[in-house]
Amino acid sequence: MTARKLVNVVLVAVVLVAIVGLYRLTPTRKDIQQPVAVKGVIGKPVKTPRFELTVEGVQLSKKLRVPRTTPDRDTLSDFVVVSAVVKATREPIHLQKVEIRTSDGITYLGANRSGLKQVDLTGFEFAPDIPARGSFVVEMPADQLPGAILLVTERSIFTALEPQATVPLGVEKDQLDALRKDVAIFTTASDL
Amino acid sequence: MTPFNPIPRPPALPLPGGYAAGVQEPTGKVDREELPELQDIKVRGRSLRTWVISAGVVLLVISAAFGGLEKAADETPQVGAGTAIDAGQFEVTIERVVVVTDLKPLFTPDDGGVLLAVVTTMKLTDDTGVTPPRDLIRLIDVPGVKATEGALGTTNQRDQTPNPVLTPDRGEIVAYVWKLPKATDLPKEVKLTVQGYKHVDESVLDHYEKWNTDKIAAESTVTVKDNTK
Repeated sequence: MTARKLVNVVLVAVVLVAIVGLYRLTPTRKDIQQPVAVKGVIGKPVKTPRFELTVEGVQLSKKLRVPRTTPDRDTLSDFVVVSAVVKATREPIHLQKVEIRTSDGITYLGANRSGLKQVDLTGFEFAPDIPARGSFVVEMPADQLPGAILLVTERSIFTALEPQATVPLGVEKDQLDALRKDVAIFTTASDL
Repeated sequence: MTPFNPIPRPPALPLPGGYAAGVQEPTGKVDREELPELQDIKVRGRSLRTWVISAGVVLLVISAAFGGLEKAADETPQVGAGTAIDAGQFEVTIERVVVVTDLKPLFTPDDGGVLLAVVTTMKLTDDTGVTPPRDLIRLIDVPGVKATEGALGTTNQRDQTPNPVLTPDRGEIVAYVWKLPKATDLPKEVKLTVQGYKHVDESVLDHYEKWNTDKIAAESTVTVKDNTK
């Protein structure tokens, strides 16, 4: 192979790599479809354009007592109960999608146990400028909680470019025992 | 316009010896140009075989960059109850099939009808929590149920939660429920299919990923337990 042919082959390879590389820099369908993260910290309000979310605390348990239902629920992993205050800022809204994403990239969807929606924050209608206190419940192994992030979105589908409250739960490994309860009990979501 | 009239060709003049000009002496057989054998054909100094193999290798290399060639479809495996089925996004074990008069308050049959429940253990193998897809289990040749029809709904056994959220890497007992109409003979056994799902991962050109419906992961024939009596 002559030197000129070798140069041509190398140039073609460089151009192909450049095409693929440049294409990957452009926004993809995933970039366009994913929600827009509004980051916050535990204890302070995360202000999205349509709601404010303040995460107040976390409790863990193998059992969950859902108000107005019996018996206590059990789980294959753990119940993570996140207490929070939510305020709609523009119009009445629901917060329909709650997730916890671990540092390993595993995403646990908010629990939908029977009777839960009537009492937790995912079933509550938030009136504008009236804060409400309640809880979100997610089933996940408690040992995955260190480094985990709470993700809350208004809608469960069509979340493209929707604001997503993103709050690191700030739970350390040595805090897990202190957060654990025999039975996780939470109060029904209500206006403050 | 003058019509095209070809000039008539004059007859060949007789040559001495009685042969026409341009006509060779008959030899008793027709001479043809010898064609080379296929394996001897050379293109730019290389044999045709070399070119074909090279083209094949180039095509395979290019296809590998886009995910490679698809595997030929295998026969759908027949799996009995109690055996785990790899459905891609889920690991599904058909535990039992039961007929019941109702599953209040979630499911109630039509007047005179019954409910048929396929009880499964579903383990979500993906890393993102989801609810059970309605089209995962389909019944085949069950009187009163269309083969294309998904279940009426799903529920977990733990606390009768409809359409329960599945936790990654945990096996939850989930029942798929159908209505059987009145005057339908209760089946002694049912044949069902478990839908497979394929993860569409990021390609060279895009980061997009999702689960798509794939081929049927398995078929199963399960004896029906009659709990209506």
